[in-house]
Amino acid sequence: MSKPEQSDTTFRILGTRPIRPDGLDKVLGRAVFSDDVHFPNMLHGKILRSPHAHARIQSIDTSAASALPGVRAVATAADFPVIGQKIVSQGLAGLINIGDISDNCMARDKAFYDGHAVAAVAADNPHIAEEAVKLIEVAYELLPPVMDVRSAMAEGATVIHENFFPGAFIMPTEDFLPNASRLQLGTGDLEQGFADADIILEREFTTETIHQGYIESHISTVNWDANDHVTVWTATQGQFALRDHLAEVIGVPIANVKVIPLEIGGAFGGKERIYIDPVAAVLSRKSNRPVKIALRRDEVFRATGPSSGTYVKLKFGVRNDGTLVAADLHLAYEAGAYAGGPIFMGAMASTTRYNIPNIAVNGFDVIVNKPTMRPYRAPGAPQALFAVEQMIDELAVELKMDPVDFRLKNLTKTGDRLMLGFPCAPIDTVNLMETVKAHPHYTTPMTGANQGRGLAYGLWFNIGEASSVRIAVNPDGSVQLVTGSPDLSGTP
Amino acid sequence: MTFAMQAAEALGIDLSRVSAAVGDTEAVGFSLPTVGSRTTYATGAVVHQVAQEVLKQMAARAALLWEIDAEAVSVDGGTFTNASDPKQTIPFGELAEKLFETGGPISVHITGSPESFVPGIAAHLVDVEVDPETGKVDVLRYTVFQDVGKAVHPAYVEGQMQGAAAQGIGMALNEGYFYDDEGHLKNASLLDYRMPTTLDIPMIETVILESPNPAHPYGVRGCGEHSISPPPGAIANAIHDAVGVRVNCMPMAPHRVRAAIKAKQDSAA
Repeated sequence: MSKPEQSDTTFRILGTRPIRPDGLDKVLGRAVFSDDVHFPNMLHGKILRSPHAHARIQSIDTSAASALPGVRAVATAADFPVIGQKIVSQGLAGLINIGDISDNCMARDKAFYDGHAVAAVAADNPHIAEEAVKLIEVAYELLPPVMDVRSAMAEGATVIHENFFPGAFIMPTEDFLPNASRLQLGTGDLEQGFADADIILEREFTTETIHQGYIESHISTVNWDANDHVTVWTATQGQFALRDHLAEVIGVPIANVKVIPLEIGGAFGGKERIYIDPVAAVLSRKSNRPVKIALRRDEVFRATGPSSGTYVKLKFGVRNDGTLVAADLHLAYEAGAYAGGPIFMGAMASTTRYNIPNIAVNGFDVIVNKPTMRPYRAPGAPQALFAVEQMIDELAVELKMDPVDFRLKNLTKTGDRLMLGFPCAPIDTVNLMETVKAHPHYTTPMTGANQGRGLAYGLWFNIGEASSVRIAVNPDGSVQLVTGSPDLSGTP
Repeated sequence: MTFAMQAAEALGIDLSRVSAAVGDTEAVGFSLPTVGSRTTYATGAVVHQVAQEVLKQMAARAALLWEIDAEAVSVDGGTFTNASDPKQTIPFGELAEKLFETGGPISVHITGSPESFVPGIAAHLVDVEVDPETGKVDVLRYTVFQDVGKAVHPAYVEGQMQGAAAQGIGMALNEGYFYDDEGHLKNASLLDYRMPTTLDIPMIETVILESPNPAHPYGVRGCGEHSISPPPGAIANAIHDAVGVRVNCMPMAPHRVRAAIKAKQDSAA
């Protein structure tokens, strides 16, 4: 038997650039994306969305919509199982509050953001469905909207959820304020660290809510059969997470749900959570027909997971020789309508790349009347680095140090204890910085008026965890490879 | 593509002999979603593990054909060899033909769980020009340096580095939800939520570094996410270098950059 290859092996295939096999079929329109799914008896679903950012739902009258010719089913939260707070664990993917997921897919008592789903219709074609949705009458009691983290954390702020389970994306947060939960990370003695510092800077930063901006909308086709087996055709970052969450929300055993992942037109973190699949499932159950829901672009922006707006307050201390000695970080991240935003990732990414002996991070997962914040490619990290890398740059300017040299002096290296409590796995941060310093881009002087050069640097962790693979050998010597995690670049 | 390449590498066969697919939930065991830059690394490591088991089972079939002990069969580069009689060899493809007559087809399924918290790093260098009258920031030159452990398909890796940088430039300079006082989203379209186009972004240069990841048999680190984080900070620092102001609100849209420049001019006056 051959031994596993070592990383210094000369590879036959790795490191080469074969032509991607999926390109031509995509250019020619032969690849099957989620909107290419059609069945002869398929219905089209449309969703009625709250025009209010924060409102109590007093009543929903669907009678006129149901009476419209061509309408086959109408659904509201009353057609979904009542779940309440049900927490399921998916290892490092975090604790998932199924009740919140259900409520986000179809509002039960309150609409928590502009665009929150309140009812849905399945009809013979999308036009009838759209007309029918307009016939649904909803009575709302308007409540004051809470639109940013500082208002949400202010004393006397309108309380958005009477009860909520503190957000839990990898690392749980704890109750702190009516609209916010908190996590704390850190090491060393902050007071002593600042006492040792020669220069101390304090700065504040804000960022706005942003969207992943994938080209392909959310589109899902669901068939609920007579045996309560439910089949889903859609584009997703995780067919198993979708299956497990959908089964819980619609109240069938996980084994009854089959998810068929299709070609994916971009995701970037925005397609790892269910929005429309349970709605299409319930409409399919009620109509006994397969139902497709395809979101318009405005629905994607209004109601699918964007990434957090933030408020960040920093205090950093450095010695005159360029050694970072203390950092105090206050990171308040929007969670959106339900707890569980990317605060842990943002907190972790904020300073892990620097070896700062005395550090405290207070992270806040803040509920506001916006759609539920979901991952966007290194969730929470760009917001934290926007603040911290400016702070690092300003300290370098104060110290009259080259920005690369200042970073070189403070880099996390292999084996350094991270504020998460374990040593940093092997990584060559010094080589990265030396490579920057020697590169022609860095050594070429800037000459033009109003021109400038900037540097920033980030460290991010990979997740590992559950990964399934099947390989079958065929009699002709060809090999079938099947994996359980989609390749978002387009082809496995 | 990156799974097929890792499978072909491990099995010692041509890439064209591997057909790769993403399985539905009945075709393959539980897998976490593709998040956290995990899939090329973690699924790739399990692809390697499964390939080793396939080779082990095939070696046993070769041993049956040759009537020797399985341990006496070695495999390298897609060829199985009788270690005690190195002239006795059989290539992967020929042995595959004989699976039915040596005990039936071979298929191996493994649900593995590679370790987490594997670090990857990226540094970004950017040159900008700021129009002090309007506050508009043009990106003149952009270089991404990233340590990816081992680039399985370097063109894909460069695409990840460039794509992430492009998204980071978008959020740095333009993108943001705009809500009115009642909480209505006012820019829910691609016209009004302004993502960068090819006119806004120069060719992004890439420098791939490869310090191996010991948790992966080929040294692969994830590379999908790392390069979205540095652009906002890098551009903010470049703006300061260009016009001497710190913009502490993202996006650093023209009105904000202009306001910062004006505040500096006013305080100097």
